[in-house]
Amino acid sequence: MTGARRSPAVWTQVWRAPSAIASILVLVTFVAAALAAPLLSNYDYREQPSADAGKNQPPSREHPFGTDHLSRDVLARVLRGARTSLGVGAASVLVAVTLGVLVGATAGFAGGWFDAVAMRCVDALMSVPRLLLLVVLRASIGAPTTLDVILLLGLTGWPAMSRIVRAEARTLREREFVLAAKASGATGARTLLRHVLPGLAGPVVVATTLALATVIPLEAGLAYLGLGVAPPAPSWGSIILDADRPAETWWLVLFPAVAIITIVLAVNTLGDRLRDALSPREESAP
Amino acid sequence: MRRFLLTRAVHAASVIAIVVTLAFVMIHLAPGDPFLAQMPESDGGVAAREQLRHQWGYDQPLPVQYAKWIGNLASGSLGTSHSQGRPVADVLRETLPRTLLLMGVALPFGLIAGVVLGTWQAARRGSTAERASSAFSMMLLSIPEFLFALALLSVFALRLRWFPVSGMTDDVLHAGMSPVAQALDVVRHLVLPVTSLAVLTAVAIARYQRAALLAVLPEEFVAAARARGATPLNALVRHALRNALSPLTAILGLLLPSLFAGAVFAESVFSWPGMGRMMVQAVNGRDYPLVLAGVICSSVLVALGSMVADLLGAIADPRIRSST
Repeated sequence: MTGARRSPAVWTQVWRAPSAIASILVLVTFVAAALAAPLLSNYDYREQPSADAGKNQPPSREHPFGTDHLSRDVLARVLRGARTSLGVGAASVLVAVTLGVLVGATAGFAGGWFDAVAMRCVDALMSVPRLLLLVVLRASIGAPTTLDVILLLGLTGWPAMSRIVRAEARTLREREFVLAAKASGATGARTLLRHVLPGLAGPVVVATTLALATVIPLEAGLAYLGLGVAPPAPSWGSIILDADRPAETWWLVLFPAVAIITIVLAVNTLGDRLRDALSPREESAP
Repeated sequence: MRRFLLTRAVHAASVIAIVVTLAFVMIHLAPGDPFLAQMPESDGGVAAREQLRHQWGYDQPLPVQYAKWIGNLASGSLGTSHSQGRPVADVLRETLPRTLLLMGVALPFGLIAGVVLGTWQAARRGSTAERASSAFSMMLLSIPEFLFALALLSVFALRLRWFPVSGMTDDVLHAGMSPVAQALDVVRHLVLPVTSLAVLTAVAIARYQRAALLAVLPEEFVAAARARGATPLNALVRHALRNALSPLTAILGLLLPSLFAGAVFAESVFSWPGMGRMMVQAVNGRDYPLVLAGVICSSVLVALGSMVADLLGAIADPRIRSST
């Protein structure tokens, strides 16, 4: 699969699917809202206007998403939380993809002892629940910063990516254009960089999208368990955690929950459409 | 078959060894120690902390600590929990069965519901009902575990009050109940956490089951069975379903880690006093011995589970047996 040459056709196909366009629109809206967070709300996400009267207020004109137990504006917190949730998600996937491609492509292309050792480690890491790895790594940190959480999620995300990349690299290694490059005297590194890596683009794009759809709920879940980014920075998960009585203060749960589910659905759908476009023979998952 | 079992066992053991060692090194290499939070960096605090560090052996070099820990482990001692002040083994004896109860009830329910749903979806492929149910499954799969559990909690426990909100037994009444009423009390507390786990398991299994069946249905032996006069249901169940079983066992092995994650979230949402919730609390309290014990238990659990899944797969499909 030569990603570069086929990409115009791929994009036409993706653009033609209404669900893909809807997903992209959702993504763009969320990213724009996250970037413009301070402009879209009259309140600061840390501001606690009145300790008693203003706390746990239902949605009103003043506070469209209500207020939390510290009288903070939930709209401001959800918007600001989008920065944490999407930013951490994107950055950690970037870490995972970089590591996964490096390890996977090298293992698949070079083979030999490196392949054997690396894949043994990947097997071991992948047979353990990712949440368990996260809990172990998290146990060694006191109050995690945003960067800590990015690294936690990134360092537990690469094994899955490297396995996909390795499988692709192994098939590419035997393809004519790679063999031709080798035969015409290209070094191993040059063949890897110039010929194998570009061919990996398609599967990596699909895997990246689906990894994002896994990591966003995971970040929210960690924050909900109280193991995520330390306060006062809000994440969608920690806003939900702030609801002491979720049935009565439903607005603290509903708005961040809708945000999480919408973005995950959008990213999942986009990933499925991209996969359909990039590998037409495979039937898309139901 | 014996060789097959042996290679799987060696693999499982090596995975557990790698994970446990990794966990130990990660946790002990980290700056700070469990006593930082309890002992502020004030005048008396520093000396007291040094005293505690020495007492628990955290001032020794890492390899020494590791050797000691492994030695204790080999003699069956998991150490003492810092936060609870009692042997880790006691804590596990209490919490592990509760988690096993939760997962052990949820897995068969989720498995059966998932196989039935997936088979139905494959048989009725393309119909309006099937498309609606597949879209609904996709939607459910996009909901994080803790949100789904929280939704069940809000609706069925907090609003409708059909089921208890939290815990495993009724705080006040449980002690005075008859054994039968006590068991029913636990069942009432089990319903919501088990549902949250089982539904998500079922949806995930159905997705694979549908795909596995769709791969088998066009095969000639299914048509042959129909031609020999088997009813559509008979052809589906006796001939197609049987051949879709071995991918299912593989999926079961892959699903165990997510079942574990689901249990951690379900326990946190419903305050189920099991191992998952214990581990989250242990992490927050930096209770190293407790975290490590939780890691050992859960990795053994998952490794054993996927071994059993592999074994079932080998029983269902002789081709797998001969390939290793």
